Amino acid sequence: METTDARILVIDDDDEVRQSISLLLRSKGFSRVDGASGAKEGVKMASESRYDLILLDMIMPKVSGWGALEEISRAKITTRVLVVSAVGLPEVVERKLAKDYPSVMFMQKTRMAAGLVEKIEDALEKPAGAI
Amino acid sequence: MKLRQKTFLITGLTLALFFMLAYSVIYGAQKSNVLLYEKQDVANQLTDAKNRIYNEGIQLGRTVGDWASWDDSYEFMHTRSAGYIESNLEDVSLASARIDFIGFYDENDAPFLVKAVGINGSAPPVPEELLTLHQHGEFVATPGGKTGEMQGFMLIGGKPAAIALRPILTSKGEGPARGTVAMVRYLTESVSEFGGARSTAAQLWAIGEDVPATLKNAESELLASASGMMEMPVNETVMSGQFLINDMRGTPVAVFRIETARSAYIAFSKGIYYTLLAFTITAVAFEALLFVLLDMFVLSRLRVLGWQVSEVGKPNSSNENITLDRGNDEISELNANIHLMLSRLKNVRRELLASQISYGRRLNKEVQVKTRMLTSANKKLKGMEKGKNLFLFNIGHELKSPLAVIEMNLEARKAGGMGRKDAAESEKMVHRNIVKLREKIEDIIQLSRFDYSRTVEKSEFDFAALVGEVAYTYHDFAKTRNVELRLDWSGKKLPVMGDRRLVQYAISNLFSNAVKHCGGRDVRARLSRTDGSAVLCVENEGDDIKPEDRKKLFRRFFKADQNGPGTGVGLFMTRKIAEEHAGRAWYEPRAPNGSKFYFSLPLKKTGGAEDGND
Repeated sequence: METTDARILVIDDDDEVRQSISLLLRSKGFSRVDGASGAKEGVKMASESRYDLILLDMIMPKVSGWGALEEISRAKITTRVLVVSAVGLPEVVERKLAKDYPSVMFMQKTRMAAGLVEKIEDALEKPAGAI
Repeated sequence: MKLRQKTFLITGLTLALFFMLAYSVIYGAQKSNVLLYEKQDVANQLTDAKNRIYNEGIQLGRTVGDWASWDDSYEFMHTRSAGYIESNLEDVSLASARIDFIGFYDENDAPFLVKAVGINGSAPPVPEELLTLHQHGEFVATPGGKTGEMQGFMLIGGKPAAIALRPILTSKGEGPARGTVAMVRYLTESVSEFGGARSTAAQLWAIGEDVPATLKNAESELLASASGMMEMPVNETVMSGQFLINDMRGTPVAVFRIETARSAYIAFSKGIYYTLLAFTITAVAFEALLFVLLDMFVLSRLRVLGWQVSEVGKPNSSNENITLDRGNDEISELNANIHLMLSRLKNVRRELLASQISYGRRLNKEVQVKTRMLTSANKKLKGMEKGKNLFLFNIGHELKSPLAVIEMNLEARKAGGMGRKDAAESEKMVHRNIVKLREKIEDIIQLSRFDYSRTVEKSEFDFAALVGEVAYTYHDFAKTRNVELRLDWSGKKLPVMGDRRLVQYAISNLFSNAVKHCGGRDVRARLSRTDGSAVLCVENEGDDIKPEDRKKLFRRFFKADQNGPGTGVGLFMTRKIAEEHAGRAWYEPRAPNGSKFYFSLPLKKTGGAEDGND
């Protein structure tokens, strides 16, 4: 499977971020990109449809990215997850992820423009499974 | 040193001083008087002695005069008969007349008969001086015409003696003189008689005679004196007096000296001694009496007073005061004053204790209040610290998100293949996120300004116009979210004094929040003039704010949803800016749902023409 054929779900409360990721990925050849404006909606979509990769924001109202990870884990959804966040202290998030969800990858939002595609390719090379 | 010992010492020293002073005055003044009296007494005795000795010469002169004017003597000088000698020059007769030598000298002054008187063959040898009288020129008459007479003293055989010479004439005193008759009497007997009569040690010695050192010294001093007589004390018990005896030519030949007991001085000394003894005994008795009286009336009372005070002063003493002394002297006054002082001290102690208890209670309360305040402040500080950390965390997110959007859109456009619609939307997104970035940066700048400088540059501006400008800006922002933003205003000016830039920031916050949290429903803003203030109300129909969060809305770094957008400083800054301009910023819930945020500023006074509600 070509990586550009991969189905990607973007979960981010910021409409413009979702739109921007979608635009960027489309410009790079990814045509199967969906979006969810909240964690609850995103988890529901992930459980109903099969996605190859979830791009998950951490800071979201009501249910945060951490809440979404818990739900994904609890629902035993086997989709790969790449956390993309613009938090002030990314190393804290990375440490916590490495401890609680070692299979989940992490990327800073500010590096997405240059390295998102490469990161998606790396993620897709890994086997899918429960996080 | 105790007061008792001091008193004893002071009185003792005073008496001793007085004693010494009295002794010095009495002894010093009277001693010279006594000495003067003694000298006078000795001088009188010396005068008496001198008269006696000179009388010896006078008497001898008379005796020899009888012999010289006797016709038998006159005849004898011519006949030189043995009968005259036998009849008239018997030793017994001469000795009874106290004549030691008798001499007959012819017209040429040559001795032809010089006899030493001695009973029972005890006559001494005739001294050389009597055999050689003419050689000494003692004769006053010239040969053949002797008419003069001489008498005086001279050393005969080395001993002082009275001597008298008369020319031998007829009983009628007619001459020519047939020679000279001389008689000599030693002064020894006269001196002894004088001493015996006066009970005085009288001494007579020839000048140059070998005598003890004391006498030799007296002799030297006498010869050096002008008067030839002197009196002086020998020691504490003996007074001496001496005078010179001159020979017929006026040359000193002998010294007469008496030594007499200093009875006056001894009596005076004893008098002084007994006086001082009596005085000492009296003084000691007086001091003892004085001391006993002082002890009885002063010291013992002071001791009792001191003991009472010390008893009061002992730790845990049950005595709180001393017994009052009912006397009328200074000690009683001291006692009364101490009593009064202790009474006051007791009252002060009670007051102090009461005050201490009251102070303790008050202090305890204050400590409790301060502790609560400190705990609250500490909690607040901790909250602020936590808030600040959260702010830094959020501001990172708030800055990075629009930056990421801008970068991704730029990257997508660079990759190409974007449709026209997408390209237009992408351009708008870039623009909006640049605005977002500017807003966040403005948040940081305004917060810093308030924290560090609080710089407010006031000038007059139209609040309504400013609100209109901001509403217009957020109108587009609202449209991106498919929301309508409407401003209700009559169009009249609302002049205020303030920092236009700060007020714009505050209003922007209200519009931004209202749009972000509107829940997809329209946002409405209204301007009004109320009680001299320009009031802006921005309301939306978004989710309700929990009652417990409403009071915290304007706190620094507070966010109702910690994961929601924003930094938590917007509303805090809005209220601060309102307060800096003597205005207000507040929240009211909207019925049935949603929120109303108000911002008011006092209108600039222009004489009240436009005051009132619109």
